[in-house]
Amino acid sequence: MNAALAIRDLVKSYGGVRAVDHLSLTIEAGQIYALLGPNGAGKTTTLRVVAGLLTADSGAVSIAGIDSLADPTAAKRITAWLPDEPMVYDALNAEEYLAFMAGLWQVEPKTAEQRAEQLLIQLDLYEVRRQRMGGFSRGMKQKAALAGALIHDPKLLILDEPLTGLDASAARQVKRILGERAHQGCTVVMTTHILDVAERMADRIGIIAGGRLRAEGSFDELRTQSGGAGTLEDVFLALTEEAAQ
Amino acid sequence: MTPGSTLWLMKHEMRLTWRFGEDKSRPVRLLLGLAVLALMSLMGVPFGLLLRGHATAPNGLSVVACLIAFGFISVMSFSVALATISASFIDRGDLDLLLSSPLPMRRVLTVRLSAVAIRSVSVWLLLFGPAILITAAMAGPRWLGGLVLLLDAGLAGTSVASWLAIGLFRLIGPRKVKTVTTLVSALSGLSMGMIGPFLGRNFGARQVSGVLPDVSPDSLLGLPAHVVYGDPLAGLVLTAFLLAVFLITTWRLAPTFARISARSEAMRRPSAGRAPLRGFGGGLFRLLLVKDYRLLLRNHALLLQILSRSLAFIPLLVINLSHAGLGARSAQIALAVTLVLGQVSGALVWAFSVAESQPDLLASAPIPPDLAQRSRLTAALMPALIFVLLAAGAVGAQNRLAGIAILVMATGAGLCSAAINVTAKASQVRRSAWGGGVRPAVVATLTDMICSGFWCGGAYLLATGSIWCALPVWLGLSTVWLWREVTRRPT
Repeated sequence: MNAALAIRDLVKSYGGVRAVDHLSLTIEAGQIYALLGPNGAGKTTTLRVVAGLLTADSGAVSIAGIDSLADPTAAKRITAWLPDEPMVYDALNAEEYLAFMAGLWQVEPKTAEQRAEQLLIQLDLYEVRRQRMGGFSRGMKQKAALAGALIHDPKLLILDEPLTGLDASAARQVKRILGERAHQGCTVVMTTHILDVAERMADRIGIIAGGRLRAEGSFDELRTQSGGAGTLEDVFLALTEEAAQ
Repeated sequence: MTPGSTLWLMKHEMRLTWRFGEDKSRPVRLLLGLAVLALMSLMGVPFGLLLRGHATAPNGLSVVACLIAFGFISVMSFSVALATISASFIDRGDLDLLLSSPLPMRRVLTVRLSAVAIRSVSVWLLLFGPAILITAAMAGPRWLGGLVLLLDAGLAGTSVASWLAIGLFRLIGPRKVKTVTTLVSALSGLSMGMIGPFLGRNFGARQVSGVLPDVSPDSLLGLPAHVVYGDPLAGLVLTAFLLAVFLITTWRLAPTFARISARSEAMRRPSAGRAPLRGFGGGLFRLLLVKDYRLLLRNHALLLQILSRSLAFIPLLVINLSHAGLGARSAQIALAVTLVLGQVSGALVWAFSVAESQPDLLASAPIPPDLAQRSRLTAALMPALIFVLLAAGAVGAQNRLAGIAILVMATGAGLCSAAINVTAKASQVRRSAWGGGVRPAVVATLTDMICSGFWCGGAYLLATGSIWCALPVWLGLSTVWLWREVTRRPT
């Protein structure tokens, strides 16, 4: 069976700086995978290459068996990308935005309408669905963007800092939705600086530093690797400091 | 300077009002500014020669001339002040910060309105000041009164603009004020630009004096003329009066501005739309086209910029056509229409590109890479091409060759302008291609203007039946090709 996401020897440089350095990782379907690392570690660059927003210098990326570097359009069809800055149009209202997103991913209109309504209700945006998103708070925009990302029922959901700007209640909603999606077979790959979230939500955690994968495994496996350190924060600091040295 | 004092606040305001662009481009802007000032100061030479030995007291004609000059600068100051008020009270969004500080609210807002006045006065002092100084150096120091009149006109324009802005804030709310002030500001500037060509066209230089009313220098309306002629008492009276009006305006309006700014956040929140969802059906191309139009039509600021950019050509058109002989009129019209439609196409492409705020969203979608760009180009060129057809039809009914010239050359100009703007937008992503030096937007504007010039030349020559029209067309196409080659340089 194909892995939901397989990255092999990925290299990406900006000018003379190597942001991703021969990175390899494999994520199975239905997993929630948290990619952790200090600022500038190469997390976002990796995810942007996977989402088809950047081309790689070398290496291979396969999404559910599709070579995303060779056939990005086919890979994008089953992928959703949600960056930390919500990609929403201020001039559109939430309902229009979801219709537009469904159109981009060519979801059948009737299905799109049903999913949009369901997502808007789930994310507490139904009452404001006809308000232009320019007037939304940061958290509301983030939720609208998540609804847009989920409208085509992606197999791979890539999220960069998905909980940034969300209040406690919205963060819980988002975490619940991500858990449900993973349960239904959707693979969730996310970066986060909130280690507590990674510890509680992720099936597997990858720690990246200097563009390389330094450690990978479940929280317990990582704890063992780092010599039995207590919390994920301890594990993270132990592994990244080790990498820095 | 004590922190929190009026002077300290004024320094802060001045820094915010005059700081624009990047530090890197400051030397270039400074050089450009100096070049403009040098050119403007040359205007003072003919005035200096004309006024040397001129009568010491104003007569009826000079009274009217000074009144017109005063009115002109007042309206232009009003235009600048209105734009500055909307920029500093709506766009900057720092009033919450300032008003949450322990500084007296009246001081904060008085300083802000004073900064608006200083900016609107400074613009005209910088533009006309050097010429007045040259005139005074050649014809005598009393002509420095012109500087006082500039200051007075600036104060008058700012006071009126402040009252109008407050009225609009109350009437329609801060969000729409920005739209209305930009429009009023552009239209008032435009109307002033039209007066000269209009008078010149309808009356001719000698006849102008004949149609103007006769105003006595001793009446109140003669005050601006006395100020220009260097009468210190007149200068003092007019300045004191207008300064008092400005200070009262500022003092009276400061609390209202504070109340409005406190409410503005809530008022900025768009109201719930009731329109049912429609338009996002059909194929991918249609979907993107609908999205492009919807984004632009809901962006008032961008729409107004296109409108202002288009309106700015009207005085040029009037001047152009008013100086054309009857035989050359069709060719002149072809040239003018080509110029305007080429620029409007470029402006539309630019606006559609700017309105697309989420390029990453489209890049992450499973759509062909160039589909979004094609839909944007189509969205921009469709209205421009409709105008081309209308203009070609209207002119072609009078003069077939001029109609053909418009059809061919305005279409060519529009397509080239669009191509330049599209590649400029794409090259902004690859900023390093320019070695961190000149910004692609500036180079694109210059290239667009040069290319537009070639197409206009082509339109003129084709309308007059000259086979040499092929030469500017070839030059225009070569410019676009060269531009594309330069912007394609690898990073």
